Amino acid sequence: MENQRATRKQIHIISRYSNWHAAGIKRTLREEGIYADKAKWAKFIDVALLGLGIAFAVAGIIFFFAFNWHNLHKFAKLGIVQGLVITGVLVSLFANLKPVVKKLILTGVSFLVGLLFAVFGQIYQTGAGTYDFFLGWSVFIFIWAIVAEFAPLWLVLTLLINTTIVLYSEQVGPSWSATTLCLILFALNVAIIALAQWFYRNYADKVPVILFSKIVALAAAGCITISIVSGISVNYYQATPDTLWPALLSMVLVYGFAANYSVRNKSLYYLCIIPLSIIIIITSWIMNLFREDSGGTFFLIAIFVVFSITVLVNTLITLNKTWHANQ
Amino acid sequence: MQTNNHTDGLIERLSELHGEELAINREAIDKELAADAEAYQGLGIKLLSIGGGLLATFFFLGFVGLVLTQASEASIFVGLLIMAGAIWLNKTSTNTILDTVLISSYLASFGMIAFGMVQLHVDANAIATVLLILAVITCVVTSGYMHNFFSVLVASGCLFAFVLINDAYEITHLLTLLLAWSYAWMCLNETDLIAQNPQLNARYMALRNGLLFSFIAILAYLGVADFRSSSLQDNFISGLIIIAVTAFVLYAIVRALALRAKDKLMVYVLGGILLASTVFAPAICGALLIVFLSFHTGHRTGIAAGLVALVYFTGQYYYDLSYTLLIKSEIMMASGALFFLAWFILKKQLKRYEQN
Repeated sequence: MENQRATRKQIHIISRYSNWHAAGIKRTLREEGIYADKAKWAKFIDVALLGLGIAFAVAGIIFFFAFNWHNLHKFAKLGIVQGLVITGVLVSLFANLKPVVKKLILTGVSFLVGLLFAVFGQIYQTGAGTYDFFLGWSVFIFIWAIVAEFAPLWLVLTLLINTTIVLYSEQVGPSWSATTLCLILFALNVAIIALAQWFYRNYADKVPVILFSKIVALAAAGCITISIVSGISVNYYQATPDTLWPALLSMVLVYGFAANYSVRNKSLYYLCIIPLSIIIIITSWIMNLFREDSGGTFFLIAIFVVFSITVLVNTLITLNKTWHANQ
Repeated sequence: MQTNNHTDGLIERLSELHGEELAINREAIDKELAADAEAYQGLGIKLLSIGGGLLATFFFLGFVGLVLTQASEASIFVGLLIMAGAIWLNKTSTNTILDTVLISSYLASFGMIAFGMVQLHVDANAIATVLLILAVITCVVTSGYMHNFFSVLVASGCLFAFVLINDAYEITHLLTLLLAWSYAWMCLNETDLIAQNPQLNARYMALRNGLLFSFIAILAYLGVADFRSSSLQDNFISGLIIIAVTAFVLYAIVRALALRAKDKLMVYVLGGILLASTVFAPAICGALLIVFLSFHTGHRTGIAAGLVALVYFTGQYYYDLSYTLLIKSEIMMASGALFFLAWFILKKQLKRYEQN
């Protein structure tokens, strides 16, 4: 414990309040490994030269294909991308590599599937819109995402499904208001989190699921906040959307559940997002209440925000201290 | 607390090393380290405080802006008042939300002062000079990290504004020299500067990071065709200046590592070839300078910023090149081959150093 590396900050602070001379400080910076020594430089140059060599060579090859792309026969174009997809999948199934590397390759191949569909659409001019593109892409990597148990891939799939729904609403389906669309996305993302948590409830390593849940939860909170804010901020010519009250209700239910979960599991994260979302909603409500007097409203909101966030942060800090009192 | 343990260990080692002559104000050190640990309360809370502070300032300034639209003198006066208030309050505050409000108010006050002066039809050069002086005064008066950091950015911005206002595009090279040289000097003389006096010590990291980002800003101006004014000819002058500074930095690093003559030669030859190839791309060269300096002094922010800048500026350079894709692809593959060749030649020697 005593031999842990000193940080630069500690060295600066110590030298601020002592008469430590420059040469001594330099020596300590070297000994604590903050300044780079020959070994570090050697490793850096080693990795840099190799990395640059690979990066430039790959970039050169990609540019070469880009130059010749329109001259290639369509079977060649499709063949190249399909070949890459098949090779990638075979490697991730059978190669003797670390599991993480295999899953990363599979994630990369998922992007190539999107590329494949794009190339297909470009060659055959099918007239498919972006909605069909994203729908196809989501469907085709769905099974991989379930099987791979790799959080980044789940994230890609979640992003694709969300995009598909947004494009559906814009291009093909009924024209939902922002409130309704975001409410649907909120429901989708919450369902995805619930599914992920249930699916992997028996696994020992919960870290990927937890991180995945946190990221998707942030998106879900954003969706419901946008939903309610746009529902409140209607102007005189539009009626309040029908879905505003269901949105508020679902928000209260889900937030209540999440807050309960947070308190039980001593995790601060959701307790940070939820109040922030509520503060934003209340702010927009105040803005709409006092639409005419903008100067005073701004001042009122500024005071409200400072007050509420101060209260929130102090509560969270106190909560944090009681949870981690023995650290 | 854990921090105290390694500080104890470090101070013990120092006392052994330097003996009687080392006088340490233990109390002040512990107090400052404790304050530092208090400030970091977890990323979620920190982001919440900053987000809340920004939101509050946005609305507060909206209020001020609406009230003050007509009165330009009032704008200047209120701006100065807020700036002074923000600096004074910052000395006594430990609350992250208050800090955020104070920093954003401080920045907004610059805007208010400039806005007021523009309304009064003050000469643009005079406005830039006033802001520059205010930034320098801030650095002198307060030792807060954010205040010093933003002051350096504002000061560099004002210097750059002189170039734009007076259409004196050749002066850009002078500015490049100033920023490259001051950044390099600050990094290489870290220990001398922090040992000199406590005031400089407290401001050091802020000033250095400010210079880093100002330097990156001017590299972006030189390197990205959309930003660069068409009246700026002779980009290679800036390239030569930066190469000269980088060459000096390499010399300093070689001396610090105490390399053997053969290795010194290798570094200078390879470094020379690498730098010479970037003479028409000062942005790439500048990014290399940042990476070398930051890696040498173990400055993680600098390494990250330098690498991102390097990748971005290299990509931008190739994008702006007006050759066909085929020729670009050939250039890239040739460069890749050269790097592979260099790696292959140096492999054994590097492994030997890594083992040591």
